[in-house]
Amino acid sequence: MSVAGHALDGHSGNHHPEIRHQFDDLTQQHETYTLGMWAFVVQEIMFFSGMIMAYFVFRYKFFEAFVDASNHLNIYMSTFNTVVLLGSSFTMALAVRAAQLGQKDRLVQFMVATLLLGGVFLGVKGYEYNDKYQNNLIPGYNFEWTTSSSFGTYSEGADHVPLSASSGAPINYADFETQVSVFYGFYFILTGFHALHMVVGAGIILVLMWLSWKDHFSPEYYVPIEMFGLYWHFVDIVWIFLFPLFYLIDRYHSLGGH
Amino acid sequence: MEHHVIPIKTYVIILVALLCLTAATVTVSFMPISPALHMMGAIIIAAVKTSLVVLYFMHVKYNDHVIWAYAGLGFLFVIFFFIILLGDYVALLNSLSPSTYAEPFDLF
Amino acid sequence: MTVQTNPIDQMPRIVEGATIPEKHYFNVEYGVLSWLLTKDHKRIAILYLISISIFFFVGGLFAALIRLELLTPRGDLVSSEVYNRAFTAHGAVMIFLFLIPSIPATFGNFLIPIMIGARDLAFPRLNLVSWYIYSLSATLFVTVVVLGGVDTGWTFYAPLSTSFANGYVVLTIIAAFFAGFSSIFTGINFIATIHKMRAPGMTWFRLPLYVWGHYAASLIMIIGTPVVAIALVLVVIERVFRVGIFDPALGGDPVLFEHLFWFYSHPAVYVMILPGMGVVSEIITCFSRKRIFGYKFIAFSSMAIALLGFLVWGHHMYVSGQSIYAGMLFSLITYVVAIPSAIKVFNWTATLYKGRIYMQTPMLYVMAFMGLFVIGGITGVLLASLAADVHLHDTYFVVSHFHYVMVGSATTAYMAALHFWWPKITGRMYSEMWGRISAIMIFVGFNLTFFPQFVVGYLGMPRRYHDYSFAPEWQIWNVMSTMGSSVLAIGFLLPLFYLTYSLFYGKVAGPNPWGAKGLEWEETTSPPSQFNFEKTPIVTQEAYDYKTPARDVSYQTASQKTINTPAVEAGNI
Repeated sequence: MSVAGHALDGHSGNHHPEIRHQFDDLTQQHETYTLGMWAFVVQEIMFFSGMIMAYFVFRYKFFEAFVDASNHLNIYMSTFNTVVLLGSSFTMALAVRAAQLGQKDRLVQFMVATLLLGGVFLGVKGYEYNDKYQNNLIPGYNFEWTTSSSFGTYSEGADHVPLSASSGAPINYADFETQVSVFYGFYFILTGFHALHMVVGAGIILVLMWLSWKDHFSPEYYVPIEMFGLYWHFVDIVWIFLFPLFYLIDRYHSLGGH
Repeated sequence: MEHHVIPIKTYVIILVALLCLTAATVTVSFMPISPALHMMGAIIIAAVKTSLVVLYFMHVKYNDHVIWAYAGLGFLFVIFFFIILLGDYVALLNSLSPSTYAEPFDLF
Repeated sequence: MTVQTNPIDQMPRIVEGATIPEKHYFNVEYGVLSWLLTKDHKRIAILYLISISIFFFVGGLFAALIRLELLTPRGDLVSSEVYNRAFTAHGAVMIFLFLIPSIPATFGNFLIPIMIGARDLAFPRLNLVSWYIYSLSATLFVTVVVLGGVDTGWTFYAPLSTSFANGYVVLTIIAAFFAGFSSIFTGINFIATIHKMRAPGMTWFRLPLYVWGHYAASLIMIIGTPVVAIALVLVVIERVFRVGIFDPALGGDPVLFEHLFWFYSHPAVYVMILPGMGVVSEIITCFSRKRIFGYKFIAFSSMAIALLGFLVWGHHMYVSGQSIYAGMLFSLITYVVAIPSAIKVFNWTATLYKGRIYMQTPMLYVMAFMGLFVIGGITGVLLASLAADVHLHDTYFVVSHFHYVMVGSATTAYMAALHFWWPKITGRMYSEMWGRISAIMIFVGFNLTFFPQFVVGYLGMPRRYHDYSFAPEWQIWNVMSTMGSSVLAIGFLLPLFYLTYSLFYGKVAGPNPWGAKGLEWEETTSPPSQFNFEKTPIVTQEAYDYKTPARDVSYQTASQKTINTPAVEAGNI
């Protein structure tokens, strides 16, 4: 409990230059920042959850279209990207460890590695986006789905439109191409927001690298490094969910069976 | 000042576990099982991976109970949200068009 | 120092000859920059107080326009277009720029660090950033209004907002998005502060209930606000890029927007009301001179409201096309939310019982709060029942219900807080007589405005119509309502004058004019010094340790206590 950490007189005792005036000591400051960062992460989780919930609704409504669209995404690149991002999370964890131990050189090295891996991820992502652009798969801009019903059992047409049990009127006006465009819409929105978080993270890590190089951090004070670590791992977690949700919907269809 | 320094070996083990689970989730997606099981499989594996990242990479295992609570808080509300929202859509679409959308309990 | 012989008869307990301390947060620095770059939670609270007061009156202006239009059945004052833009501006400004930040960003900001014995909030820079984001959002809102406004309603329902609405939807949504992030940052700040910055001895169950209320509200801010933020971003994406999300023509699902929107926007009403409930708990115990009844029940009922508030969003959507099971579940949980709310009201009532009750301005507001909140709450239970809601949905009954909760309760609590802590914030007392007059005018005016709306809503008058010439028999109720709103407007304008007057000519209040308990009254000067306390206080007693009236003989005036002495030495905190 932090209350024990309060000194009677707030301005006496530990006079580390990095203690802000509202804190009594480094322990209290560290605990407070950690909790604040976690509250921020909770906020981020809810931010992405709204989009993921919407995704699930459409996945249930337009299941065949989602399977079809998902099977056309590039599984090799996405798996490679997953490995890259897990690797960058790993190097970031090691960077925080180096900061804890005051190993300045290793701290900077691991942050460079994290940045490079993040850059590789974004590069591959950019390549994928460009691929979608070349194939006219940008919803709202130029969208054509010529490869529908490639798995045999699902076909575009009247039997695909669900009819109301009471009136017999079609409930779902969206045709197969529109349904696929909804998938791609969510694909771009969610991976786009994820990539945006990574770009912001890359900017922050550059600043932190410079500060580490200037001996700004010590084993007593490395709060920014640790907070950034939490952020970076969170971005990793988002990808851990996005990867199976977009790239791995019932992949066995692409093996030809159903 | 006491900060728990986790040995590098632990980090390596976690990374290997995460990579294995990535392989597992890819494998599961190629298995001929029902769509609902696919989704369950994907979410469960992702949840396990998330817990590993949260507990070890994000040091929650070595933190006090307040951090534990906040680490769980967001996910808890996402689960509430998921159950109510998806439950609503499954029940609604099924009641409107039983031939197209499966019964809530027949999804498996 | 003289011991007052019969202090019971005197309230407020102003000590003659009390002075304003030489150095306090207000005069520690001068100049515009010292305010715009301040990291002091008290100064940021003042910045917020000024900004939200401005937007309260801006929102009120649009309300006046709405009421004037409804004075006659024919839509003769403004066109339907303008009317749509007016009620959108009224709703959006009042909710995003006044109600959500009202109590947390001003009084929460000012008081939470002092109440828990801290020098500042955990993240002072973030606090300032949140004010700047709020100002940015406010600027955008004003820009939209000047350019001509939007006609979607503050709810931005899709596909109206994504495919059909004219006007500056995108700009308005960006403004709402920023307002949301301003409140998220406030929430993060409060959570970290309340958890980690408490003074020694300030355990969770010694915290003032005001702090509990803000903690529960902060949880809602960080859990709910991001969801509505993303729902609004998706609206922008659909509107700008024509990606199908909500519009059925593009393959989207309009009900999904309502789910995402109400997942936050229902809990948002608890962001407005929970801090207000905290204010009521503080004032009612002080002005009854009695310990609060059932401290833990009030504390945990705040948390219960915050949790259950997230599971009831579908009661806005009974007729929007959700499944029958969801309707039943949401109806049931909505009934359940009434329980913790009722627990609070019963506990406040029990606190009054056999107390020595003083009817000063803050207490008048609190009494108004209790009455109006009960009416607002009970009609909420009515609306929660599935069958009744089908009849009452989108009528003036709903409008009246949520105004009873938002204006009758949240704004009344805000006014109560303003009058209760005014001497602490400024060091001076306002005119008690004018305070009471304005409180009574607000209460009377409010009921005259909104009670007829229950009736006319029950008769079937739909909300958001500017013309009801198809049913001219509703006019009498609307005339009453418009009359009431004029009284209400004067009631809200009066404080502007007598509070400003008190800044310069008010009696000096002294550190504790109400004889209240709590660190902010007993351990700080009025106005507080820059870092609140000379020394970190040590807390040895639970909150609200008021002597019961019969034993109040040992009462000492506030001036006898040496300021900034650790409480243990004084021995009678």
